[in-house]
Amino acid sequence: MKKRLLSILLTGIMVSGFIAGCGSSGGSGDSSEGGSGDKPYEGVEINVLCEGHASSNAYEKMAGEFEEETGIKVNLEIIPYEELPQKVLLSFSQKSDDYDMIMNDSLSLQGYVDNDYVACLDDYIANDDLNQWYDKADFVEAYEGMMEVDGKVYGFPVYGEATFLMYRKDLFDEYGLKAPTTMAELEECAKTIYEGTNGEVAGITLRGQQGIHIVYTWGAFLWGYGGHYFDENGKLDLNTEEAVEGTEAFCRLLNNYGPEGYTNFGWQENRLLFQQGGAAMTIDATVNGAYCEDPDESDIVGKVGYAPVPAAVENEEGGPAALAVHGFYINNVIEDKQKEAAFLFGSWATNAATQEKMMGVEPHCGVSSLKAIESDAFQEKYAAFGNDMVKALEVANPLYVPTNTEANEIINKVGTALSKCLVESDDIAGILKEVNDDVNSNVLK
Amino acid sequence: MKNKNRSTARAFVLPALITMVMIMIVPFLYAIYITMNDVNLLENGGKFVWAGLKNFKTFFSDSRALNSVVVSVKFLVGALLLETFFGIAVSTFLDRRFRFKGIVRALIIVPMFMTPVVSGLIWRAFFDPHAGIVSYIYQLIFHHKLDMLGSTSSALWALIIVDMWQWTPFMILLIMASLDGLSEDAVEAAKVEGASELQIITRVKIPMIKPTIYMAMMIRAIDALKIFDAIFVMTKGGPGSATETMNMYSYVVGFNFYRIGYATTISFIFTIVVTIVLSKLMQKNNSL
Repeated sequence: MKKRLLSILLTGIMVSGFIAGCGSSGGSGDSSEGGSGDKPYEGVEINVLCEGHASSNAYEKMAGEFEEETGIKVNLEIIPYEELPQKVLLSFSQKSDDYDMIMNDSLSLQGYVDNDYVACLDDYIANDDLNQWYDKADFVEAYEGMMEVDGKVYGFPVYGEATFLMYRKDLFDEYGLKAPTTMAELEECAKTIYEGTNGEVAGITLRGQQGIHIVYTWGAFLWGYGGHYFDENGKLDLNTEEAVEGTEAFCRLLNNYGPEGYTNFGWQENRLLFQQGGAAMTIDATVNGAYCEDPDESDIVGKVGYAPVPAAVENEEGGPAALAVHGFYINNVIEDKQKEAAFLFGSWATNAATQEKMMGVEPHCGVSSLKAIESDAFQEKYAAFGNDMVKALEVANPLYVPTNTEANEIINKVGTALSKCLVESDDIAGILKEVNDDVNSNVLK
Repeated sequence: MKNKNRSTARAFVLPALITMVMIMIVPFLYAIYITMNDVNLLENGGKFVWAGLKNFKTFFSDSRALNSVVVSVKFLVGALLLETFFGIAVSTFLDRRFRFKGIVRALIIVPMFMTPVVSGLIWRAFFDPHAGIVSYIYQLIFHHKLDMLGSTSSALWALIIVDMWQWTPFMILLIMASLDGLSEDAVEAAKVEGASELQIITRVKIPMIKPTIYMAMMIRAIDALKIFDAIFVMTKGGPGSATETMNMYSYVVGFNFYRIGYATTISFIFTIVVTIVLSKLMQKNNSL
């Protein structure tokens, strides 16, 4: 009898322990009701999921100032960008309140809005009790525009960047070249330097790794040759002469004058090769300028010229320079007080004064505030390319990569097809037609 | 008294049984349920929408999915054959008395202890066309650089080489243990009959250790089919989809396209096929 009792007791303990282990640990930060008059959100705690980036590191260092001012405690969780979209979507789709606010690029915003995952900020912006830090007019217009869907604001632009052409002034002088303004000139410059150095210096280096990397740089050639992603019916439109011509030029450049191993070049590999002097030109994000001019990182400090991305034809729909913006978005399922506290943090974090300060805390040239860009701190730190970066932003194309709900799938499929084009350049038209048909019949049904 | 003991024993086993059911059977049944649904984290707020067998139909009409099956099979056959061949070759070579045999054995199995992600990263550096040792040696011999990971024809071979480097020691370990346990009588008899060293290996030793080789091949087959880490860090399935195995494609569909229902279907088909093939092989092994 004793044995039986003991066994039942033990079984009960083990099973209840297991079941308890399976239980939910509950939601996000505490929402205290005990705020005082000048600090109505005193005691509120918010959880923010950030991507690994200089801005996130700066926020981590500066969050104490915000807490001191508002009484809101901010818990920042910083994870690599590659892991962030999955984590966010799994959390959002479970209606989890683990995160009050998340950071991500604007590519995902349409999907978040379509699924009611993120909160509209319009009411908070209009609320005088909350909007002391929010200044819409101070954001770079293009950045702010990418935080809107159907005229409503859903995010705070944390940082952004465009693309521009970076070229080695010393090599261009040596070979008597000028910064290219057309795609033909770009190819000619790449050829001259590649042949002049017997291939020791690549004429140009571009990201060739399949997925978003190749799509990001290839876009310059798609738009630069007069192509676009979607037709007037919203269908993928890469089975065009312009797209084929642009892709041929892209493949020709890399295959003939590119560095070895470019098919596996992501942002990092491409940046490092250029910084180490292995290539005469590259087209990439404006943030790379900061790395090129950093003596701790680069062998080519002061030798780099910056220019707009060349184009073969004038494309009325959009130019060949990318525009990418990363923002903060508020989780739609959290309680109102949490949303308000998150709004306060988002607006404080993207406020001009905070962004100016951030540049002194971390190497961060992608600030989204106009005042911060015009500040002495920015001009002093990023003088070598700051003005070119601002010019690139002015002409950057917000339609450069797909931003619809299906964007991730389209980018992956197009990226895989482009990777194939690079190594099987004989049938570029066929490969583009295949991916075009696949996306239109299986993704954009 | 006997019944009492039995019920006590059952009660003690019960928690383990419940745990096993919860972590193995329930997720498996849940996975089957997911395959019957359209679950897209960017559609309908990630809600389940009943789809019946649609995901299975999609799989058989999806050229990229079918390509991933072909890549998985190519990788499996290539890795398995090479590992088995070198496993047998090296272990029969080492199957003799010599100085430092213990040290040699210990050194041979070192790659096995390396995490696949780390070995993938190291080999990625080795294959680097600028600074990699593989490309450097190739250039010394053929006077031009080699970009193994950048070509559709050689990228899969590069992955097979890495797998071979890491897992041939496993074959060696098992085969050597089996050779050590062989009766000397048969070998001695063959020697008396005038058999050459090669004949002793191919006609006497290998037939006698066949069940071990078979079992080692089966274990390696399961691992080779499951490969993900090395591909993820070395090629991400590229160039194009030249190294995209079923596992890799399933990951892409799940975590890039967010189509959880379809990704689960790919994994489910993969699991079923692997289970059937391996159970058949095991039956054959048992009959040996």
